[in-house]
Amino acid sequence: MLSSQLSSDGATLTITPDGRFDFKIHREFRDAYANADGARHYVINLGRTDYLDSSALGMLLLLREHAGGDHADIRILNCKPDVYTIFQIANFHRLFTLA
Amino acid sequence: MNILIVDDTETNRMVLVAMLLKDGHAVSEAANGQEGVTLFEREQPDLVIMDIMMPVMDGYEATALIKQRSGDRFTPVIFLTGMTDEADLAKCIAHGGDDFLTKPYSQVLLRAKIEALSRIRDLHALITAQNAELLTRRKKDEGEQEVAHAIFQKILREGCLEHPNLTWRLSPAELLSGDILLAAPTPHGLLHVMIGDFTGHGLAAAVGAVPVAETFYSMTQSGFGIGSIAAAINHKLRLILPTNLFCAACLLEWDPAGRRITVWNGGMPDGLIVRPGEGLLRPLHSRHLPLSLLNEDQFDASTETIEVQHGDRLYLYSDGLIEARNAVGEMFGRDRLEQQILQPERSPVSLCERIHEELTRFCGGEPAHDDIALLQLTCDPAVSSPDTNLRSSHTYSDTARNWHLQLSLEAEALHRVDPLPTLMRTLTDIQDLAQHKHMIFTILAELLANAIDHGLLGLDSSMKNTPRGFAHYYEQRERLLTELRQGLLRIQITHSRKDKGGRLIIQVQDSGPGFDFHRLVSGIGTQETYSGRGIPLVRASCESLTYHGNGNTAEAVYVWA
Repeated sequence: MLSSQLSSDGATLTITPDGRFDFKIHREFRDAYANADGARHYVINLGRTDYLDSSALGMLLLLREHAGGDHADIRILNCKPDVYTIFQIANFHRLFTLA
Repeated sequence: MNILIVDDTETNRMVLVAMLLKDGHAVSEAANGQEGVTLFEREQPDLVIMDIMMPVMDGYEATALIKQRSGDRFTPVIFLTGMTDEADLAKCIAHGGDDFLTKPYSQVLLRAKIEALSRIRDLHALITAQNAELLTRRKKDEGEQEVAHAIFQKILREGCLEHPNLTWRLSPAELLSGDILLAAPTPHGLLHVMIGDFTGHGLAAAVGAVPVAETFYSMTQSGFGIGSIAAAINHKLRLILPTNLFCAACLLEWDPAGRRITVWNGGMPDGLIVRPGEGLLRPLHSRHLPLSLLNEDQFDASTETIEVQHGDRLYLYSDGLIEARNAVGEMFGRDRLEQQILQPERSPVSLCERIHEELTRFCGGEPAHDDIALLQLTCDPAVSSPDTNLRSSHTYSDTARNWHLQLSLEAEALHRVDPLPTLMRTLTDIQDLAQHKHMIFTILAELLANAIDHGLLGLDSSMKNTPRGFAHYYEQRERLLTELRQGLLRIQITHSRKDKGGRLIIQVQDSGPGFDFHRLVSGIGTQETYSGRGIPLVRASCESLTYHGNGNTAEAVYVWA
């Protein structure tokens, strides 16, 4: 499960997955950004994410692609230490802003 | 019938006795009032025929005593007297007599009166019996309500309504409330609050509180957001509640640090926020239907977020509060409520108590027709204290044990079971591996995904190289898994104690054709393909990862201390 929210000016999309961030939510995750046409900034709030698997990493890369590749503005916020470790192992701190 | 005759004239008694015996009644005789009362107590007659003027004790006094001693029973008394004065006859009734007949009397008339009073007596006996039964049932009912009430109270107490930032008041119309208030802290230090109002009140409504509270507490504890919790409660209630019963609810998440409030309101009155010095902010409108009305796919879990400042006060309440009426039918109303909450808070009486006092004054003793719930949240982190955080169930340190766990799943079982949560639950039940849970999860998740996706379903990862292919891959996976007819997945987990901590060997074997594991690359690059990260992740998470057989058995070793 996840929830997504578009800022009032429509420019910032915040996606918040709940519990497990894995392939089970790949459709919801894609729909969230596919339906937010005007969004230019993306925030992935992982404050409620307990687990993350490798397909979640793939999904984040797909979002990066969608958001303009190297020019994408994606911030990943509120990572728990365990989730952060996964990102570090995968070298994701080079592709995304982790905070 | 058993009839008592009280008359001091023997001939009168003889005539009567003859007649009553002939009619099939049993008869006892007394020669004055006092004897009559004594016989009444001994014989417990069904009916009494009473003279008025008698020595020792007259008929009036005797009748009064008899009526007094009848208790719940109805024993008709017919006065049979030579007196004709209306005032004297009226006195018969005043002393408890049920009818009278003046001498000389007609036997036909006396029989008719006995018959009529006998019918009233039967009716009285029936009503008395029914009353007794009703009373017993009511007592039982009250007893059961007390039990339900106690359960209800425990459910409320289970959460953290005693949180220093919350004050509240719940006034049920009956013993049991159809309004509920729940509060619980999330694992990330946020506060979840829920106010709910079931249609109706009393037992039926209160029963629904149990699954609601259970879902609310457990999902909050697991870190789910309020939108997801609302969706889950909706689903659960839809399954168990009859169609005419539903639950209006407002769920709220308060982030003390971020000064944010997230809200999902389905059918509750507008939540009100007061900012000191500024007054009321935009109300928290209901944007959804109450819980249990919509199907899962129609349900809208979207929430609204409001920025708050320290010192802001937020009010949630049930419609019972603003719709409470006074003797002339006037409602308490939103305006009166707003007037109250705009006044600054003066301790020690909380605003909730003050509003309740105001409401009691307004209603002026009129009984409440609906349950009333009112809750105040003070958005001030200074009030919060860490003691109110959710009690952790993992405070003890665990010692390593030796154990072995094996799970084999055939294709059919894989259709319906995701082995990952089951394994994680079992594993952490046996051994409390709190800090290692996440790493073990990663290892298991990736190994299981590989065994199922590639080993059993024969999916090719290169499919995931394009955005479209990525989605396609998982759609295929879903379809192939439901169509899978053959295949076996075997998971073995062996844990052994070490000097400090323990060693976990996780082996995942599938019945697939295997693969050439010698060609596996060991590093994880920054290359932006959408796949190929699972195995490097496992490698980085554990002590060692090896493949056996033809590549269909993967073994990861995880060491913890």
